[in-house]
Order: sequence, then structure tokens, then C-alpha cells
Amino acid sequence: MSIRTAGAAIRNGLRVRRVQHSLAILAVPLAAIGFVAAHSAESASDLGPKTARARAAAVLSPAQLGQITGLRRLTESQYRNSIADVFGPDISVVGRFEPIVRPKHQLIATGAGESTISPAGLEQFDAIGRGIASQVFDAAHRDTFVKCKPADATKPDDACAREALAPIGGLLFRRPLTGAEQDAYVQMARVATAKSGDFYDGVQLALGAMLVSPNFLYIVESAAPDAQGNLTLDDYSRASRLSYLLWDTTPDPALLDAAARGQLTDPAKLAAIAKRMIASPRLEAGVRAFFADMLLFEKFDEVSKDPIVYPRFNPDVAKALPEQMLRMIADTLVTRGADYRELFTTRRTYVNRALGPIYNVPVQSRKGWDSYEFPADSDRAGLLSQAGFLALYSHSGRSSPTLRGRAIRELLLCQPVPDPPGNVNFAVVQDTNNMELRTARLRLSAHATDPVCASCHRITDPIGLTLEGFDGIGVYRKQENTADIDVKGSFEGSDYLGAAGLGKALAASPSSTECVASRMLEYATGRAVDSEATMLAEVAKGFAADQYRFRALMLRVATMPEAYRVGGKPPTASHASLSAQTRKGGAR
Amino acid sequence: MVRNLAAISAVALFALVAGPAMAQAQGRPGQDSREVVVNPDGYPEGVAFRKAKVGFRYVDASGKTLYALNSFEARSRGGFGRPFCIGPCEQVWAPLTAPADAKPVGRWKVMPGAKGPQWAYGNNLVFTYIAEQPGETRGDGIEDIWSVAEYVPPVPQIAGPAGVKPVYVEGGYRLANGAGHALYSTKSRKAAGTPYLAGAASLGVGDWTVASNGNHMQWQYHGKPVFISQEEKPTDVPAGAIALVP
Repeated sequence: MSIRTAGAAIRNGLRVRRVQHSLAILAVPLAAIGFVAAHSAESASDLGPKTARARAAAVLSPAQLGQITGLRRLTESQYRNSIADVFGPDISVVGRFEPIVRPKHQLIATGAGESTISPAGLEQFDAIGRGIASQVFDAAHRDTFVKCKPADATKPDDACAREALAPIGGLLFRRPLTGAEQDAYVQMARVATAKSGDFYDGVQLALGAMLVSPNFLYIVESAAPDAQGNLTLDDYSRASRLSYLLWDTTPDPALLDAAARGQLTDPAKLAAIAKRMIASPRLEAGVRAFFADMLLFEKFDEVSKDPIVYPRFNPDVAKALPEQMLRMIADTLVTRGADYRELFTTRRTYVNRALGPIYNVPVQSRKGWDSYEFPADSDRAGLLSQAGFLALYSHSGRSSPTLRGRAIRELLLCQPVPDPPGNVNFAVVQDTNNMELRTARLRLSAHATDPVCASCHRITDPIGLTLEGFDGIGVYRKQENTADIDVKGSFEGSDYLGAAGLGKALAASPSSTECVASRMLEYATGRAVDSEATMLAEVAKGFAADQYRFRALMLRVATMPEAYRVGGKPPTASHASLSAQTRKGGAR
Repeated sequence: MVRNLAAISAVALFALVAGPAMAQAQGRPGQDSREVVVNPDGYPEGVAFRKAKVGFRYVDASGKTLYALNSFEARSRGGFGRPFCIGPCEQVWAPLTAPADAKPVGRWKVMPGAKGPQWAYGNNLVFTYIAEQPGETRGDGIEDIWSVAEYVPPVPQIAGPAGVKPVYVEGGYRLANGAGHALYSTKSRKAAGTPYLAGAASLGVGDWTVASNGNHMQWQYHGKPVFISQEEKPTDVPAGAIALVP
């Protein structure tokens, strides 16, 4: 079988270019088919796997599909988590993921709503999907996913193919397939089986096609008018919203069942379900994913340090830095349920063997992490003194008060800082061996005498200079070039000393809590929310009323009706265009 | 001390349901540990196995324990190329001789011994300890080169999730995940650790079913939720837990 896969750019309207070989794409016009999903009497929490599969295998009428109002591409972690939850952790996901472009000053979650997939990117998804499909239907695994046996394993068996593919498709697409969609994949399997002489090759090909369908790669948000005539997300879209927001994964059978019963458009039932999910230990995955987005963790992939200047920095350290930050965040906000502002002041963290030399602390565990609390007289307190933050916002061979100050303004206070002009001379700042200007503070003061530079540096440097007690990889220091480091700073009219003082100042600022509240709303809805002042104010006010408890913030955003209302111009894609596939001679 | 823990040839694979049921299968020792059952599959005629304190040991036709000689260690003491055992040794240890036309079977093969063709288990020549009676194991560990030849039952065929495999532990098989960590069930909340996760698309297989634990889909074995051991020794299970067996 020749292997030639044509990639496609998925744009608004979602035209998928012809994909040859094992992705035989068929054109099957959608037909109105009666909705035959069974509604049994058991509660969602009693949902056994057989019932779950039956629900997922139910046939959805195209009339049940609302108008598409949003398409949000799965992130890599969402993709991996979804596959693990649908097929089990035994199925490997191997391949490279085309990154989602982050819009300036916004989240990747927002970028996902505008994200296309390049031809090369689609080839990657194709390869990943075929790898998954080949494992699911290999001899070792197939009995786990398919109960029926084909009458003749060398010939097509439509009934068995449908029994195998329909429930899997329902779980992958996060809603039952329509009859036409089921027919299309069954036909795909039939054609492939006829060519290859192997029933399991056929279903494997059909599954591979599902895994490059926009219905899987994108979270398709559909809306329908509510009683007041406003467009609001439908039940299945709400199931996806809840699951990816709170657990960073695909809806589980219980949530899909709740959607099938229409429970997610009932505010009281939606709240009960959201509370269950927020009480789960799986919330940690959602919190980690949120902060990885909010704090630009993708930049950790690019961190490199000069080994002569920073010999303590190595791949193990690089790998540990983001994990330490996330552990500290999860411990503070999820495990202990502390006030969000404590993220800036807590002395509690985790260290492993790799980070011991960075922090100059002994580590008992040979593998794994030890909890650790910095002494009260240490300048380490809160997120800003974690080596990960300090290293990320430094240069390869020196610290950077400006980068650190800018990161604090933009990421934690939601205050964008303009880019420097293209013709700036950084020579003074970069000359770390200058014995006249021995510290960064002195070098920046000299640089900022230029009025073009001063206006932005006034925004960033008074904050960033207080972190100069830590070098470019976060190691504590008192001097630079034998000169004492001055860690005085000022923020919103208050003076303070060092990282601990800065943390307290940020904790006291309303901007820090308003910023995370708006980011959470943006993360949940997948759109910029700057213009939605009323909703933002409500969320911020509610966060304060909840004493800045992060679980409460997530619950509020997950359940507020306004977050499910759809405004703006929806994409031109329709469910028909997502499902319509071009048949060019079937499988090759 | 040489312990041969290798599984018997796959030719002898058959499904094992539970330990006592093994007694009912052909060629396996009965409940009476003195009963010697000869089975031609997987080991030479005249050789059998008997239940030991832990696991099973090979015995000859008279029920005397068979011992494997650490050949490498023995050769290094006696000089490479020199047959072992001769002189005073042969007053203590009797070789398990093989017929001239003997063919290899399972992990048993024929090697040249001091008195002619001799059975070896793996690469280790096999002997009996002359001074002892059937049922005894006084020869175990002598000079650190003699050890009881351990019989390892055939690997059972498992009908379960793809990642589940049997691992041989202390004379019996336990079920483990792909990484070799023992799987267990428990009534103790304290012992309930890392759940053995399934996918939402997973169906039951054999005695295995899938159910939601409220957070994940989890495998169950005979209706009980399954967990993965995180003990220092992966094949151990925590206190209060019951290791899953085939």
C-alpha cells in the first residue's frame, strides 16, 4: 500500500484536503436520522462501562447539533490526556505536536480558538493517530475494545465494525456520532478491509481517520437559543468546557451521560456536577494546565544557560524547574486550598536532588521530591523567588531585572509592557564586566538616562531589581562583581526590600487577584475578555467574596451563565462541513 | 547460590486457574508433598518436581532432591576445562546421568560429565546429594556452589487487559502491570493506592471488568478494584493488600 499523505490546512470552513492511503476520506451526505439514544433510569454516578458505551454508541440526529460557535484546538496535554482517558494509559502517544500560537498578551487557550493546522502539522497528527489506532486494534489490545468477532476476519463485517467504532467515536468526538458519521466510518472500514483482506486493518484505518477529524482535534462548541433567545452552549459543549477546564481532559462517561440527559443546561445540576469535579483530585491537572498557560511555561523548552557562567545548570535542573513551580502552586491552591495571594508569600516549596545545589539545601529523597520550607529570615518566599521564574526571565549569561519586571507586570498583573524600539543600544546593560557599573542596578540606571528607554524601564525595573538577590539561574547572592546588591524596590507607592517584600506587595495589590480572575475567565471561554467588563467585575468581586480561594474561582467560572453565552461572529464552519469528507476512490 | 527462575518452555503453556487446581493437572504434584509425579513435558524422563517450602524443586525418580552446580564457579576453582566433580567430590555428589541418545527438553540439556553424558539444567550440571534421603534438602548452599534445582511452573496464559503479565514470585505467579509492579486488591482504605486505570472505551476481558471510581475508569478483577504496587520491591504488595494471582 503506498504511503502518501497529503496534509491540509484547517481553516475556518474546515476544508480537509484529500488524504490518501490509510486515511480514505469518504463523502457521505448527512441525512436526518432520528435520535435514538436510550435514556436509562440509573444515575450518572452509577454509569457502568456497558451503559457508557451504549450511550456513546447512540445515534445523534444532525438536528440535535447546534450552530457551531467556536472551534478550539486541543493542546498537546489535552490530546494526551484524552487518549489516556479513552483508551487507557497502556496506549502510547508518540509524535510531535504542532504548537498553538499564543496571541500577544493572551493565553494559548485563546490562541486555540484561532489555531489552524499546517500541512506538516496534519501529517504529524496523522502519524500519531495511526500509531494509536494500530495499538488499539492489535492482537494484544483488540479484545479490550471490541467484543464482537467478524464472521470472517478476512472480509468486511459492517455490523461488527459499527459495534467497534461507534462507541469509540462517541468518546473521541465528545458526543454520539450521527448516523451518517457512523455510516461513513463503517464504509471506510469496509473498503479498507476489502483491499487489505483483514477486518482489523479496516477498523484501524477508520479509527485513524477519526483521530485526524476536526471533531477530535478541535473542541467543537455548538450553541442553541435559550428560553430568552440568547445563544448559549449546548449540553455536549458544556461537558467539554467543564472537563477541559477542570480536569484538562475529555469528558468522562458520567459527564457525557449528564449531557445526554440535558442536565448541563440546568443551572442547579450543572453546579452539582462542577462541584463534584472540583472536589476530585483530578482538579490538580486542570490547575497545572491553567498556570502552565498563564505563566508561559512553553518558554521552558527554550531555556539555555551559559555553562561557564552557570555550571550548576544542567538538563536535570532544567526539567525540574517548571515541575517545582507547579508542585508549589498545586500544594498551595489545591491541596491546602489557601488564599491565592499566598502564592506570592508562602515559604513552602518542593525540592529534588537536581535543585538541591541551586537552593543550597540538602535533599533526602534520591528520586522524587521533598517538601521544604524556607526559613523566616530567608529572602525566598512565593512564586517570584522560585528558581524556575528567575531562570526563565533571565538571559543565558546574566540576570535581567527588566525581563523579570516585565513578566510580573504582564503575567501576574495583566499590565502589558510595550516592546523596546528596534534601534536601542543595550551595550551598557549587557556589559556585566564593567567595573564602573558593577551591578545591574547601576547599569540600568545608566541605560535609562535615555528618555526613550526610561518610560518603560520605570514600569519594569523598580520591581525586577528587587529580585537581583538571585542570579540568572535563581541561586541566591549578595554581591555582583564584589559590589553589594541593593534590593530596595517600590510598587504602587510602597517601598519594600527583596523578593519577600515584593511578594507581600503583590499580594496586597488588587491587580494580582483581578488579573488571575480575568485569566481564568479567558481560559474557560477561550476568548479575550477585556471588553466584557461586567462579567470581569462579577468574577473579580466573587473571587474576593470567596476569600480568594482558587477552587471557588474555578467553580464560579465553570457555572456562571454568562460564560456560556455566545457573542461575536461565529466561525463559518458547520457540522456538515466538519463531517463531509471527500471520497477519492476509497482506501489506497 | 544458583537459583534458576527461568520459565519452562512455552511449549508447556497451559492456563492456571488457582494454586490448588494445579494439583489436578497432568504431571503436577498432588496435595501430599511426598507424592512424586513424573511428567515428560518440559523435563527429562525420570525427573519430576515436588512442592517445596517456597515454590517447587526438582527430584529424581526416587524423590531425592536434585541440585544444580554453579558450573562457572566450580570451573574457576577446579581449573577451566577440568571435569567436575571427581575425587572426593564424587563420594558426596552423584551425577544425574543421561542416556547416550538423550535429547534436550525444555531448559534441560545433556553435557559431558565426569562419568559420561549428564543432565544439566541451563548450563549447570545436575546431581543428587548421596548422604541425604528423599525429601531432604541438606545439600542446599554447600560450598556456595550447590543449590536446589528449582522448578518454575509454566507461565500461565492470562485473559485480561493487554498490559497485565504474570511474574514469578516466591514460588508462584502474581499478576503485574507492564512495568512489573504487582497488582492487588484490598479492603483497606489505607492500602488503596494507585488505581490500575482503564479507558472509557475499555470492555471487560475474562475475569476483568471496568468501573468508574468517581474520578477515573478503573480495572476490577473478580469485581474488586485493582491497584498498582508502589512498594520498594515492585512485586511486593502493601500490608492489608491481596496480590492478584492468575
